[in-house]
Amino acid sequence: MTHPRELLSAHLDGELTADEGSRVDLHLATCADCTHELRALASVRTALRSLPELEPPTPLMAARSWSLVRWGGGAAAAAAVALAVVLAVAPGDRPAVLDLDTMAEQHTARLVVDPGISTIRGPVGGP
Amino acid sequence: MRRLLLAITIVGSMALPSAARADDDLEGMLESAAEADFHGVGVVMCTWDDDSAATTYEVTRSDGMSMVHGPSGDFMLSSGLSASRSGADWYALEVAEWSAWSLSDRYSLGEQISTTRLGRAATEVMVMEGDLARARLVIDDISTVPLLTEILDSAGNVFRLAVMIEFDSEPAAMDVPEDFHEREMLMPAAPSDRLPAEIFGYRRVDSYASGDGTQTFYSDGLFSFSVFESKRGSRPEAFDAATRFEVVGEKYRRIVTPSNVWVHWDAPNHSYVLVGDLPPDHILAVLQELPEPGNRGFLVRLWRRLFG
Repeated sequence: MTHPRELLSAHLDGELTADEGSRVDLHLATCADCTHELRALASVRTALRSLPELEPPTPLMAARSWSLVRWGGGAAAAAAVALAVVLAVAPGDRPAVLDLDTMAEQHTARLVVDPGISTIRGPVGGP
Repeated sequence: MRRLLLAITIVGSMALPSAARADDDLEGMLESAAEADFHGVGVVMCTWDDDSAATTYEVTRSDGMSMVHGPSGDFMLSSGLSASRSGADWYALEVAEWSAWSLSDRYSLGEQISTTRLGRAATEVMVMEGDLARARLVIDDISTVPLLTEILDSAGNVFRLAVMIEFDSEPAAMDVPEDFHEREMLMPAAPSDRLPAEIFGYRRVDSYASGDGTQTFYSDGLFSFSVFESKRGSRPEAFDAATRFEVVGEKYRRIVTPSNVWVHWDAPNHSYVLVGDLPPDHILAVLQELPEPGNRGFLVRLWRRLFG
């Protein structure tokens, strides 16, 4: 197997098929480069997801500007929390549920309009 | 002077190369066969390498409406409407709009031989794609319905065989539903800009909304296929155990059913299902002009997760 770099990100998200996942695992067991890249990807992801845990800035400014700092820190914390919530609950591009019967019906409904090769012998219907 | 110009125009149009337009005889044969009334019991089977599927079906067509009884159940088909029966109820899907049919000029009628089939006078005809024999049909002389249809691949092997084992040019009585339990419309949609207007001689004829994606219907007048584009990761369960195959190094999954071939693949941003009656060499050529299979990078995946 060549280096499956394009599959590593999908592997981290558990989006590979069982077969693809097994092949990637098998490769990782013998490839230090890909193992390193997988760890790097995991680190980036972990870092991004840890944004909500950022500490607000410490009070380094003068007392007069402290309220601004506190406001900025609060906003950053709120944004981080919002990001965390989005990461946790965002549906992303959740795949659609497809089935062959529905697609077959849609295809056949359009197919029978034309006198093509399937129409002239009488289409079977179904997938 | 005007008569002279008219004569020149007529002579000029007669001198146009015949390859620029579809074969009139083949066009007429297909249109006549599609409108003919009949009742038949047939077998249809499809073979692509080690994948093979076959079924029997019973079909009655009268006044442009077909009633089909097959392994998937009962279907009613008429121009732009497909209805299936579940229990006592019928569910209909209607196509709101469609474009006019036209036959590609790459097909022509070849040799025609008088014969008999099922004890009936018939004519065997070859449908040529250039110099390649693409289909062999045995047409019933009275009804003009094909009693046998063989679709050939580029090597001359039979890819799909449909043969009537019982046939009557008089339609049987049809149990037409009086009403539909549900009736849905297949609505036109803007074509996906990722799908070409023409692929290997197939025209992008119509596009329809399909769930969260689109159904794009391609046809060359003889064969046709639909490409369903949906969000990446959408894959019917039936493809889990499908045959994997490659086209120029790109990976796909396919399912062969008696009437169709189904192909699934994931491109970086969308998933695709192609279904159609076109032969394997056409499928392989078509796939090379559709979005390529592939995965997407981590940042794109993160972006998609955040913003859909």
